[in-house]
Amino acid sequence: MFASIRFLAYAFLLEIGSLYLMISGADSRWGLLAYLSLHTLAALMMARGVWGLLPRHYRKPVWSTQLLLFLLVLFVPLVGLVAMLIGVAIGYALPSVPREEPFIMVHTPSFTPVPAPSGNGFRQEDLRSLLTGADTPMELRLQGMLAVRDMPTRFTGAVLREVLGADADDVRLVAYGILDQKEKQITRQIDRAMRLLETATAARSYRLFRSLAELYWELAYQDLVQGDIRELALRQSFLYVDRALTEKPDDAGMWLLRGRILLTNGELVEAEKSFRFCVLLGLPPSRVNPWLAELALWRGQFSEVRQLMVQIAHDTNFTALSKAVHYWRPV
Amino acid sequence: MTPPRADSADICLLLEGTFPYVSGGVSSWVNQIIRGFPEYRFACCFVGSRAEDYGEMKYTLPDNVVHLEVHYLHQPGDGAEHKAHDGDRVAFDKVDQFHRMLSSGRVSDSRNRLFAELVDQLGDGQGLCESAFLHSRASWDLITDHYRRHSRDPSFVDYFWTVRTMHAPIWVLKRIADDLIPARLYHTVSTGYAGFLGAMLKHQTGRPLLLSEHGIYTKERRIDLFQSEWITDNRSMVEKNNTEMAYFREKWIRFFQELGRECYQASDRIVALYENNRLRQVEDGAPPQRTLNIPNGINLTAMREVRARRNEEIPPVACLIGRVVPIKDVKTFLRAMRTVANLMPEAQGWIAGPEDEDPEYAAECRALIHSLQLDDHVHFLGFQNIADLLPKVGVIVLSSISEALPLVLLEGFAAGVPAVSTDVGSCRQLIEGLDEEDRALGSAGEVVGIANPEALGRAVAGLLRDPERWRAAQQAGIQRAEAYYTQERMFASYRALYQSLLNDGEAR
Repeated sequence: MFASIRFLAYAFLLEIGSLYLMISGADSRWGLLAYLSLHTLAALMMARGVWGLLPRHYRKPVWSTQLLLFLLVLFVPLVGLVAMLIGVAIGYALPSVPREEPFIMVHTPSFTPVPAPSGNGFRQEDLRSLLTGADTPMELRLQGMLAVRDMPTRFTGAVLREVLGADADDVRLVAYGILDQKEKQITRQIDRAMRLLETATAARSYRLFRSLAELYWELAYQDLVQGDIRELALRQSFLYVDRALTEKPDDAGMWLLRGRILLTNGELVEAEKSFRFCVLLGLPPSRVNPWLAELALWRGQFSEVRQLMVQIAHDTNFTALSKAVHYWRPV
Repeated sequence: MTPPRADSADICLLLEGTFPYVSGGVSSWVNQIIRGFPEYRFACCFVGSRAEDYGEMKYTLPDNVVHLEVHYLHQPGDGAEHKAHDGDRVAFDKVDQFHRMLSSGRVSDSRNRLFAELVDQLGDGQGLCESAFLHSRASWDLITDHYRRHSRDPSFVDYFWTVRTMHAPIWVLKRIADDLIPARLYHTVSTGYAGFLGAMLKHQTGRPLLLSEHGIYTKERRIDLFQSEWITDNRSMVEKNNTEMAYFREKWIRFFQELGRECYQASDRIVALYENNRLRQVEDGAPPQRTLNIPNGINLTAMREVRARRNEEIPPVACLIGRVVPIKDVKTFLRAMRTVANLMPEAQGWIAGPEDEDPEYAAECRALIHSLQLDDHVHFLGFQNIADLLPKVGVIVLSSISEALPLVLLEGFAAGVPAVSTDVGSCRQLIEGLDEEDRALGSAGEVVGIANPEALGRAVAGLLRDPERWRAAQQAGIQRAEAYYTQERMFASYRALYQSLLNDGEAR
């Protein structure tokens, strides 16, 4: 608003100046030229000022409206301006005429929760027999699959693979989809890390080795690969653990992973060395002892297991292990 | 090439996303059928999703295809402005009534009559025209009322657009049905949209409708929708129940179920490839007395020539013949090749099939070969002429997670190649035999569970390393294909079907 009035004020001043020039030096060519240029400038200002004062819906389209105003003021000095101001005044005074829109107003309906149509809410049945039982109705089995979808495959992998052999295509393809999706998530990360590794700097490659080791381990740990492929994944994981440790020998996390891979392969002596090294590097007992205890358990050294579990009890950070620690506590 | 045009045809094939623009099992079958019946003039009505999803024609059209038209269901509209109007209350009340019948889940004559009545009103300017659906007060009231009564998802915006998007293709199909050239018989190769088009045509023209289903469309859609990530669930933490499907997912699944049901109800004869699929059709709403099985058949003479080109040795080559797409589960084949290569270092794995349908999946497969350290053992051959390829193959592998009655197994058998396949579709029937007499021929290979690379790999290596068992399997395959799965048998069944339906059509 103020900007527009300022534009108008400048325009008036320029226009008066131009009129003065025309009257004083009308016969000379330069006088005429000066008048024309001042008048053009005044017209520009005027157009901008008047445009800013127009009612909002008169302003569009922006450029052609301003151009029309400019041309009016330029070619019809004074009269054009007066006529236009009258026009704007009328525009303000008249009520706006709404153009007919192709839309009408409607109100959104309110939401009332509708219960699912199923009559049977709770069932006294475990998931495995629900999913694999051939006589369970299809809808119920699919419902069970929905529940399984969000659980870690470490727990559900075996059941899902059992369902892969089901006679009904629907459940079996859903089981396949769940396993495939989870496996794909990890494989994609592996591919990305591999690509990054090709151009990585030394510091960056250490981090990539580390994550590759963990990703390959995850494939096996989450029970997503079997047989030869599982062996291959564990081998790859071990390879990248070693490469990460070559870069940074005091990485306790990698030593722990190394121990767990060896433990899975049944190489107990080597595994123990790795775990002991973790302790030396300062990992708390709650992280290392469960694995050392597992080792001791395989060897049948039960008093050793008890001792290790007691040490965990002194450590404050255990929750998932509480039950095991409680079991092994001295009587 | 401009598609051929005609004023009329004997048989009009309704083809959704298949021949002649997509290659694969169903397309080859359509091609085979058309060429097998030179005495009939065929029209092909292709229905696809969007023009950009399809490339050039993958088949040369047989001479007896006198007419081809191509339509897309999800092409953006003209964007013209439309005025809101009141709409035909009576017509929309009927729609409401029809949806009540749908949710009751029962099929009845009154439902079929109502369906026919509704289809009649879908045309431009009538009570249920597209504009009435999109811009009338009656339609809005129906949608909001249904939202209040049925929606388990709080978002009205999502509900509204789900309903609109879901139903939009119906009017496209109606226009196709109105403009299609007259034919004496309609033959649809799937349910789904093409099947629904067939149902509309049947009601409109009174001409007979034949349905041949390879896979089960409704089932495949359902599995797709079950996995798809584009469907939203707007329920909050406290409203959510993890064992309950997202409401819109369920809505989509039911939509395709009902499309299928309408097609089954309208079809005069319903053909499945094998018994399990026929039972599934009946379960999905096909009247049992109209169903029958006609298995695929192959051209024996051509395959005998291929067989003659084999030499005595068993090539240590396992070959997967098929498009490189997720449903073929190529990755399991690759993982199995790891096991095979461990057991037989000289073994080779080939993948013969086009890779352009799902380039992302093909790239994932190539990456997998590398990470399995199989670069020397596995090769992608691209599309191959089966006659040149089969004499060099030791065993055909099918690792698919879903199949119907795969032609490649039969072609392989007739060309003297045994097979190892996953236990999907009718593969067990093909490899081990169906009835007592068929079983007596012996096993033409081995069947393993899906997504079990270790078992697949061991089966392949076991067969390749045991020449005696391999030769027995080869003989069983040859005999089975020649006895039960010949093109002549299939053509004879279809000839009888076509003739009886065409005669019925004339008599009406």
